[in-house]
Amino acid sequence: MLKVKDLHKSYQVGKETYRVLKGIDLQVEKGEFVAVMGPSGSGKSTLLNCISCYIPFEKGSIKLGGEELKDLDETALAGVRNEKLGFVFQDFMLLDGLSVRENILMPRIIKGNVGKEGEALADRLLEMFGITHIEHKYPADISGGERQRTAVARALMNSPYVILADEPTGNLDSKSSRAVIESFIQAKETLQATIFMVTHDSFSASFCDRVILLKDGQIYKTLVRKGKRIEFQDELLDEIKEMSGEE
Amino acid sequence: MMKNMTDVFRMLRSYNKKNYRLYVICTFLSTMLITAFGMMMYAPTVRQVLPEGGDSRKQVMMIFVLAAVGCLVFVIYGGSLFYRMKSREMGTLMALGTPKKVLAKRLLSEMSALCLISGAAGTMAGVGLACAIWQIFRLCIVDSRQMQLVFDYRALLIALVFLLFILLSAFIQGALFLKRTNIMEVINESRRSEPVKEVPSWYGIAGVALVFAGAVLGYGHSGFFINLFHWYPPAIFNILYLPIFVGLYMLMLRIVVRKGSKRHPYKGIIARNMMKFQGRQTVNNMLVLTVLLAGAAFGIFYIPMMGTNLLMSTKSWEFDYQFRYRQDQDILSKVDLYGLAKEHGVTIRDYSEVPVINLARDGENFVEDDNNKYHYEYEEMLEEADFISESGYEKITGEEISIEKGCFGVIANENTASYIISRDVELITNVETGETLPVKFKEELYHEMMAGRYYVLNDEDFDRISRGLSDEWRETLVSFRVDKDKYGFANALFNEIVDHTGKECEFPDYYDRVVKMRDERETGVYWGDTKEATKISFADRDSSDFRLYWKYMPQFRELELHDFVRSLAVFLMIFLFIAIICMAAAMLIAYTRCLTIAINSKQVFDDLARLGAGPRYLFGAVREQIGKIYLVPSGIGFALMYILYLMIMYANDGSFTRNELLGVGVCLGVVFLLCGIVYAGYRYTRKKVLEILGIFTKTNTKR
Ligand SMILES: Nc1ncnc2c1ncn2[C@@H]1O[C@H](COP(=O)(O)OP(=O)(O)OP(=O)(O)O)[C@@H](O)[C@H]1O
Ligand SMILES: [Mg+2]
Repeated sequence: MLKVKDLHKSYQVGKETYRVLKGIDLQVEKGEFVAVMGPSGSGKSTLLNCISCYIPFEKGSIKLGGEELKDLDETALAGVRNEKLGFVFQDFMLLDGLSVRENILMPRIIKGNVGKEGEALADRLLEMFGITHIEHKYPADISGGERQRTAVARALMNSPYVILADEPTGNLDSKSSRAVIESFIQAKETLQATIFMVTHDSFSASFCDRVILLKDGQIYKTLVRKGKRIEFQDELLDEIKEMSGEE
Repeated sequence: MMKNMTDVFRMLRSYNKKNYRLYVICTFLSTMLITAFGMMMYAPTVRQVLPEGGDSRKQVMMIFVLAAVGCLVFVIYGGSLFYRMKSREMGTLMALGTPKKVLAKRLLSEMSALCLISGAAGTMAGVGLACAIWQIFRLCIVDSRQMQLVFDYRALLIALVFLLFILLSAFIQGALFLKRTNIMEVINESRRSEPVKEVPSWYGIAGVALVFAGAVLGYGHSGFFINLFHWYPPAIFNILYLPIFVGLYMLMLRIVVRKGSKRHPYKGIIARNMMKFQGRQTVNNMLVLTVLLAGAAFGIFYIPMMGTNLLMSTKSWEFDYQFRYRQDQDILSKVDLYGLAKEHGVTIRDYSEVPVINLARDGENFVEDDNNKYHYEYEEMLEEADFISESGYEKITGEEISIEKGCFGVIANENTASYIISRDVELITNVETGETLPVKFKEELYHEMMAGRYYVLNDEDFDRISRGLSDEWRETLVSFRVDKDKYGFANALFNEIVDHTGKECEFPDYYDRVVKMRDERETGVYWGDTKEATKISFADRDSSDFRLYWKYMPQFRELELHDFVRSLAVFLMIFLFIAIICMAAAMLIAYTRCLTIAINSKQVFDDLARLGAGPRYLFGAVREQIGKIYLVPSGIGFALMYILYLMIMYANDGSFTRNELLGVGVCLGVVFLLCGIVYAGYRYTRKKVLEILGIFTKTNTKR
């Protein structure tokens, strides 16, 4: 489904060049739920932004459903973003002028087909995330967790192939976190959605099929879940400890 | 229920009303000011008072261009602010997969609608403003038939061109905004800042040095080349003024990012660092502010300088009336004159009639070579000069003088420099008989009214050299005083004189028959007869050109005062208007800049308040920032203009005359007034900023 090959990205600040991603290779199969973990500043957000082509990168290839994103023109890329990708940002990126419901409907509005079906889906998502009671409120008047749930609901609106989520549970209490993760799992199961999520939280990560550990812009290790969730969480905690202990 | 992108954009618009309002205000005010200015520039009265190609017109145009550029910068700044505030929203829409075409279409149609509506409203308001100001001037100062404001479509053309500029800049900004492919950059645009790096301390000194260098080079270079190399530098050399702007930029950069003192390294650290963070933009804004405020000062200074000069010089006239006419002209006789006076209920006294002769004088002729160089050649018959006799002078002035044979005196006042009337005359020639007379400069005679116009000869010399001279080269100079002077009489007499003067005297002051003879002999054409030379016409006898340049223009105090009030009113209006435009543009820029700073740093202030900073401390930080934005440009702008004026006054004649000193004094008062206005603007802005930041209000830590 998603195939990243030899991805390189560096930032230019003044005269200095900071190499952030130093050759990332990864592959996510359809219907897989993958998490990326790693210390702060290791390039997780950068990786997600590159995958969605929000930022340019120097070298590498990104294939989504066999389509090379690098070769697409802007219009085609916009279409991909709208229909095939769902994105949850670290800082929500809701439109402050629109209500919660309208924000959730946004991908459909852009596509130009809200319709009865769209409204119904919005109702379902609102209910699923427990935000029906605030559907007419505006982002400025709701809590961080509510905003996050709105953002996740929006990402699910167009039934995307791949959901890219940057710390979707970062601002949530454990109950809401669970709701988000469960919604991902539900999307995965009912829509065969592929989920690629960045997280700090080993609890959330432990729900995944696979966890990629990122360090200094390179893949440090990939852990595959074999057994129970609790065991996987412990394994993750140990690995993370080991990874940071090496320094 | 919201169903499509049109709805989305409508809702976002209503949510972001403030952004739109700011941009609309920017374009509205700029087009209003520009339109009003254009209306003013195309009014016939203004065109008459500021003749084409004259210095005043050039200066007004220069300031107009400055103001227009200022307004444009203001609009561009408003546009960039607009896009900046919109960037997060646009970035989000892009990230959600909205095609750029859709965004571009929406954004550009929004922008054009905004520009067109506010521009059209601004244009109408500008017309209204011009009419209103004009009407106020008519009511308060002077009302004559000439003071009429005629609606000229060319003024609208200026507004239209300006509007197109605004649209163009909005489109270019929009295109640049949408062109970017880095969506994260678009999203984070509103948080981006361009901090200024440390500026070395020599920047301040170097800046001041550059400003001075620019002023000296720009102002002095032509004199330098003319005097030393006998070469006229072309206009491109005016780029020598450029160091002024570079210097100003460096100086301001230094002021903005100055480090704290050694003793109190943390004093004012908040304000300093915040300024530094908004560095480049702020300094750019401050530079534009400085230029605009200097323009305002320029406009305002013009009025007292010109006013005091003119008013003082007519006050010191010895006679109420003095005029001269060629003796071949059939001008009214003394009897007619007394009759006319009687008709108007005016009594004439101290009447005198004195003969004047026009001779040729010798001197160095200025010869232009190729490539802008020049040299001098001696000519026996260089140009016309007007002579009266020793006894004639005594008759007019009642003052006893003695000019020896072979000598001459020059009538002067304290303003009469040697280029106005030469002291280096050694030979004079009767043009018709060829008779010559070698002469030597003896003394200066002081007379305000005749200053710079006449040479005085010994009676015997005068008789000898004028022998055989026809009436074409002879004039009569009439002087008198009156009791109970009236404008009606002055005007009637002026018309009488013009009506009785023939076509052969319908030429301007610089038209010189001696030069004409030589030129026609040497090259076949006299420049004064070509199309290039300014012409005057009896039909336009009320125009400023005619009154300024007609060779036989009478000097009537009442007429002059009346004219003066009329031209002064127009000047007053134009320059006041320039000042208003520049001031308004400057204040608006400063205000918006400060509000941006406030909005951008709200978070910092909230955090500081939560960390326990008291309102006093926060107020200090606000004051330091806002204060700098107002104080630095106004201080530098006004001081620069003032010094420039002093320089011009001094360079004119190498000293300050009484009138100039008076004008300079009045200008100082004007500076105080302007500072008062700036201060009022500063106080208002500060109040608004404090409101935004919630300092000194009850809801101190409200977000
Ligand atoms: N726009 C940018 N310009 C310059 N450097 C950047 C930019 N964005 C990120 N970086 C740098 O790149 C590195 C990786 O940043 P990134 O945001 O990808 O980290 P992260 O793994 O998401 O961290 P966190 O877990 O804290 O979100 C960091 O060192 C950061 O300073
Ligand atoms: Mg991150």
